[in-house]
Amino acid sequence: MNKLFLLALITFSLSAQSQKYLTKTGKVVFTSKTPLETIEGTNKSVASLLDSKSGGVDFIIQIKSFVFDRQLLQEHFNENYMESDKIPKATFKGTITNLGEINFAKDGEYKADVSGKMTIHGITKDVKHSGKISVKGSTVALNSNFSILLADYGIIIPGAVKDKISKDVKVTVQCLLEKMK
Amino acid sequence: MNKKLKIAVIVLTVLALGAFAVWRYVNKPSIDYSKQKATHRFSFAELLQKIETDTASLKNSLISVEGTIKKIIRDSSNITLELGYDSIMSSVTCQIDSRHTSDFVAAKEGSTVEIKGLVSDISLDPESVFGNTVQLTYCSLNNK
Repeated sequence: MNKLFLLALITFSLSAQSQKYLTKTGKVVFTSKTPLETIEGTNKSVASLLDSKSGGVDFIIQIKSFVFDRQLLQEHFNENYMESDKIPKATFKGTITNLGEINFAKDGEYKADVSGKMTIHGITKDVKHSGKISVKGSTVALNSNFSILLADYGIIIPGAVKDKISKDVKVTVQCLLEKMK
Repeated sequence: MNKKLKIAVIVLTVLALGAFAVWRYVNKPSIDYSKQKATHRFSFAELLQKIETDTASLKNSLISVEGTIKKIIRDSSNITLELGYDSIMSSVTCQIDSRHTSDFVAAKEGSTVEIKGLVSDISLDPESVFGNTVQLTYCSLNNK
């Protein structure tokens, strides 16, 4: 009986520790704002995986799934700037560095510091960003805002439109992940 | 009206028309695919089978897919649907065109819909936790 209880306890604690959360409908918005023009692209098919045991966080963003309100912006974004036929996705693979401060078993809002490798336009950079993790039942919401410098990722803005596209764009991440069954 | 004035009026008119044409071109809204006919029509299961052998013919094409709503994300005025089942990881994500979100007010998880959308990406990775995924953008209800 004692052995059975011990086995059940080990099984429970292992499954509790290695819990993964996932979504394929996360949202990433980028905004370029200059005095002349504001450009916004939205992708609501972002795949994200969080491992609450290791603190690992992955994001996979398909570039062609960014949508725009104007057709010309979409064409220029894919063909001229992101070259999405050649480089179809952007990724982030990192780790929550303050994992001990986040209790995935208790509902609440927690500050999360994340560091890892971000790959955009085929160029990989080491990055550190802060965000917010909201735990509610079997769901975890990941929210973060940060800026990226387009030149860091080899994205060249032609001189003719340099006043209309910001050198650094604001990125907003909003993903609601569900516990994997 | 003397000759110089006539020429000036013509030049100004041509310039104004040219500027208007450029403005229209630059500000042309994204295409409303709901008015176009889908080139391929699938059930959810047929689509998952199709991408295992052929993705090239589907990429960037307008398709319709009938499936069960696994998940609905409502975000201010936007709606994103995921078609699939809890028992499998492979799915179809559909970013609903903001001009057609009103068609999905009554949509519920577990109900069946036929969605038309532009294939923006196909990810084939059955071994990963994400499974295979077809991503559709500018989606609307397919009224056949």
